[in-house]
Amino acid sequence: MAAINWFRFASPASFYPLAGKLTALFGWVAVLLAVAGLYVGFVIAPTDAQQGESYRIIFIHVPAAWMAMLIYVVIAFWSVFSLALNARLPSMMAQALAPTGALFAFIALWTGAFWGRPTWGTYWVWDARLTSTLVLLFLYLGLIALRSGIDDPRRADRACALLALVGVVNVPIIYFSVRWWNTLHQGATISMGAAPKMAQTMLTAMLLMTFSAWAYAIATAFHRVRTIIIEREALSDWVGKIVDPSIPGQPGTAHAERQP
Amino acid sequence: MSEWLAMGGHGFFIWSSYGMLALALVVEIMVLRRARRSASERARAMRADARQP
Repeated sequence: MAAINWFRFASPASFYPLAGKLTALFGWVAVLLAVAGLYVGFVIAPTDAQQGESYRIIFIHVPAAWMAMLIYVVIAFWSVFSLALNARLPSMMAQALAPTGALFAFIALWTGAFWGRPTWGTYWVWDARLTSTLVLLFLYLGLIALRSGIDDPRRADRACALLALVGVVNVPIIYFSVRWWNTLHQGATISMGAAPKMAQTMLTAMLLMTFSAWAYAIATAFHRVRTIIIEREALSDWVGKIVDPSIPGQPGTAHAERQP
Repeated sequence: MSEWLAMGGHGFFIWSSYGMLALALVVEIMVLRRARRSASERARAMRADARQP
């Protein structure tokens, strides 16, 4: 069996075309899974005995909340890599994930509000889970603001990696908040080692939407990382061929970073 | 159809949730495409500057 040199993809030049193929693949997977999930969720899944139809918000609320937490953990993972190896691509991946993480955190809060109103009688309470999820949204916005506030990309990489690592303690707080504190938010619907407390078709719809959200996040992150590569490696020869294929043999050093 | 849209009286809450998600996805995809275009244009401009003697 031929050995694949995985480290080849650690260089932006060889990662760029791969990321392009993955963007298209995962984009389509996201669309197909969302169509299937919405069909099961709105056509097949029955009305909930206690909540009526409003429970159907779960099909986007729970996947969005999971993705918001997961993406932050992935950013922290890439941040460890970028600090330990002082490599460019892990920082770029962390940077590429932050806006999509912010989007999912916002959607988790928004859909939670519109589910809370018919269920609890209020759009918002300063409950441990809601508050810690709001903190997560602010952490994402902080990462984006910090990045745009520092001109030198390598300094911005390090500052954002540190913020990501400090903020990651918030994720287990969100996850366990419903156990640690007496919250208005209900406990975990799905947890390891226990049978899910919901009907099979509801669970199927929710999982389809979750996998769709995964695929969407992967697609957008890879799309964004390619834009970041173009920005940061603009003067390298291989980016020149991408942005301006008509002119061969342009000046510029390989892998030159954009200077502020 | 309108009965289905009413969602047993919860239509406002359900469609506000799904509508905001749809809006957010459309906005993110538009921003992604615009960012790619402007990054490519900036890269071309930087390379043109670098070619000046």
